[in-house]
Amino acid sequence: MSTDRHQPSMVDEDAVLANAFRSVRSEYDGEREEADLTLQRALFQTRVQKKRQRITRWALLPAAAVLIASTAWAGATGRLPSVSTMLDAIYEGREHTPPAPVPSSTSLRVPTSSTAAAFTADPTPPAAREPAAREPAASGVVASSPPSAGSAESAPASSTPSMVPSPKAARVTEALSASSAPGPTPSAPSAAAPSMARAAENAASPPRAALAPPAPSSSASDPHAALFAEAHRLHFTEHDPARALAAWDRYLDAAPNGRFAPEARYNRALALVRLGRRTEAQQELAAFSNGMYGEYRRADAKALFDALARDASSP
Amino acid sequence: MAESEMIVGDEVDDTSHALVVRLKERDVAAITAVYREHHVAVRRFAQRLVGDVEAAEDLVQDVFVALPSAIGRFRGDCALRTFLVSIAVNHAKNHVRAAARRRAALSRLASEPEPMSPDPHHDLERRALGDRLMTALDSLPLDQRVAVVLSEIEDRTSTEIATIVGAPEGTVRTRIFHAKRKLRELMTKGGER
Repeated sequence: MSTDRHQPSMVDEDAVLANAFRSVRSEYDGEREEADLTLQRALFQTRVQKKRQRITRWALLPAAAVLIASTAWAGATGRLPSVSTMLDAIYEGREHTPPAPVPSSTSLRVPTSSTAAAFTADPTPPAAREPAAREPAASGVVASSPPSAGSAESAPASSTPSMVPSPKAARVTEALSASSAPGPTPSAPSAAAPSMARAAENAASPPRAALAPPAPSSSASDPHAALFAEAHRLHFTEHDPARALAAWDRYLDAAPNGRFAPEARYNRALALVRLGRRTEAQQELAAFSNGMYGEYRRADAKALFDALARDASSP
Repeated sequence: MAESEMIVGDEVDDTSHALVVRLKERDVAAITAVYREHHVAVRRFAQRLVGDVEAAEDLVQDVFVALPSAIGRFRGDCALRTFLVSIAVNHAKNHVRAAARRRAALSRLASEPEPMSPDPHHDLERRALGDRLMTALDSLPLDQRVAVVLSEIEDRTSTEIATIVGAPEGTVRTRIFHAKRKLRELMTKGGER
């Protein structure tokens, strides 16, 4: 019975549905007066797309191909580093940053001797960044003619490097204060020198990476890098301050405005400390502590300078 | 029309390769030719699917704008008209939503314009039935809606629908079955109200 009742209702529903479908079919016949307008809009959009496609095909893709090819060529022929250096120089020129002896930011973060940073840094800095001519006093030390502080300060301001003080400065100060702390204080200046030398050695002891020889690229682009590497080896690997001092002087004679000249001068001062030539060392360090090189090694040099002065004044 | 014989029937494709190439290159003359040949059929399907002439017009435009990009998928295993309808199905989602929103707003405001006809009463009934169906279609999932419109309003076979929607015939038949069952319920409820 229920099926019988259900059957007619299903038929009715189907009829309603069929009528509805028919109604929609007859209502929408696809004709529209605005058909041409729709075509025009579609064609306009198509033209825009075609134009974009043409620009992509004939301008962007060749430009990208040229860029890729030229980059590959520059990389293969070794011109890419010089391009990057040039861009670096342009960028830094825009920012009007003061010249720095070691431009790489990595060198600023190295807490120990910046020698290591000097090796790893970009070997071909613009000439403007190099410090001014080495003060005559520096070479005069070797010739047993102590330089005057005035001569060190007379260096042009443009040679002042802008370096962030190394965190090592704190450790140097600690080391120096430890050496000057009550205890086995050396009574004679000659006995004080070795303790200072040890302090200086601690202050300047390079990390393992710093002991590695300079990269071939840096040697190739800096003709004096070999001299620096040799001096560095004598100083920090062979621990021979006398030969290291001579080697630092050789480097500074060859490249008084060289990229690594400030670091060489600082290391030269350390060698002088180790050799017990305190006065000459102090004169060399004074240039740093007086800010001739900006903040570069200033704190380290000042700490060492003060320590030398204290040892000199102690009985 | 010498270079392309266009559509002879819905089962066989006689679209010339040259026309397909020109369409790929966004040739304006080729697009215009295809539009002139098929716009009524595409618009008819769009209107019946969407239930709104304005939204349907936008859908037709989308179909012919998308044609040069989509023609790369055309393998000649169906008529170009069927292929155009399949493009319309792929682009219908947003237009169906827009039309449904518009319909809902109009039903709330009851501001639908009355048709001008020599038999206003009959037209009004017919139109009311059509509107009820469209409102019921709005509550269906899009795939069921497409299937039932193609089957019951466009009178297409399951094979054609399967080609258009890219689904097996069995799936298409299932969709139609579920869609019609739900529409029956909705139409009855709507009629009782």
